[in-house]
Amino acid sequence: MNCTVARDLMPELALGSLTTRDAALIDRHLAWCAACRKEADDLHRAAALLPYSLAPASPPEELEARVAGVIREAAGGRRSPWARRGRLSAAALVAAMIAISGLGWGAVMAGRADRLEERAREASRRVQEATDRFAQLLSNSRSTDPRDTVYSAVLAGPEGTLSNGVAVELNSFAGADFVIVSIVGLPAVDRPPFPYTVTLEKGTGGKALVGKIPGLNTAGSADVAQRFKRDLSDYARVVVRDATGAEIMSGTLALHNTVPSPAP
Amino acid sequence: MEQLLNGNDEAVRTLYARFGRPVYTLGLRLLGTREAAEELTQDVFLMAWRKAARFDPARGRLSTWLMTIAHNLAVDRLRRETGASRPTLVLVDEVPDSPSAGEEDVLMERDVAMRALASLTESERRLLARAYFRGLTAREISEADGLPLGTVKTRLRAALIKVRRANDDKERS
Repeated sequence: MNCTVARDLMPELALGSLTTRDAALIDRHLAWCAACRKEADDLHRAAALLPYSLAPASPPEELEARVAGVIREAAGGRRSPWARRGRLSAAALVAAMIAISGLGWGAVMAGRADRLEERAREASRRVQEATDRFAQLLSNSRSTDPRDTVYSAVLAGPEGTLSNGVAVELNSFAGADFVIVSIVGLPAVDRPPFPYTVTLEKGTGGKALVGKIPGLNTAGSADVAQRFKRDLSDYARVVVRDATGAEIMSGTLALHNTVPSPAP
Repeated sequence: MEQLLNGNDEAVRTLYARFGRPVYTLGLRLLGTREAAEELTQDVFLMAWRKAARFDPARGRLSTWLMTIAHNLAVDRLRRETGASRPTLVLVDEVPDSPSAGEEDVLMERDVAMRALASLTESERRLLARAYFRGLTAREISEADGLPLGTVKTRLRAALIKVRRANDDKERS
């Protein structure tokens, strides 16, 4: 690229509307051409004033702590307790998956309890057991802050179906939040089409993707987990949808000790 | 910047106090939702930390560097998200009701920006807004307005140079 072409592209480079390819080409030119670099810097300086012309919006107060936390986490492998905390949170996530998946409730739901009511009762008991164990793991772990809270939900499908699930969320006071969702009880035939999408939703319509479920394991269940750098406090509903967007099951997160029973 | 490189908490918070609000504002206006603006703000400061060693004060101010990072990340995100609608936006001249402590710098920058933009004609302001805040390329603008591409590029350059000159005059005075 020569100086004429570079200067032709500079206004768009400064305004951020160049394609990635053109931006890379001009960057290479600027690396060795001091005259063009000066002009590009001047135009960048002008463009960077534009956002200040906007009426200032107010970020949420807790955003500052989250920004500081993200950088602490990224920077702290060597000296910050924060990185240690991040790793332990991941370990707690694994523990949660074991606590929930290891109970074998998929097998229970798949056959041992025949009647719908029995299955619902068994599911509720298993969910309570899983969340108890999860909460116990967290409280025994030095990785967690006493201000952290655990939420859980029983996910129920439409009336008359056996589809069911459980969601557990760690709402971390200062670290990353995470969520694990386990589903089971979907019919072997005429099963809703995969992949399933698991989302956290809030009343105002915002959604956070927990993950996609491409298929079920041999026990007829599936788990999906996600770690979030943002605060999940506002996301109260857990929804599982099939490939067409139809809702398969849903539930509302509540503080762990008040886990609601599944719909009969 | 040295302290930022080390992930020093106080350095990060100082940087955030100075630039958190304009970065968030830009994110909100470009991406359209609070969640996206919050994520963008986190990403911008994280990238600033990652690239802090590359910041060269001889090439420009810290505010220019950070806002360029913020704008690039926001535009990248808009381009990635299929079906993302471009925000309908015009430059506005409202002022915040009650600036809180530590925001004087933001207000000064805003004052500088408003004065610099006052040197433009209405059509020049709109042209810059369409490119910067809506991510329209010069080609897209030329097609939409039925103008030769070269004319659009020339006008974009001229508008940016006017902003720069007005800013330089302000700094000198």
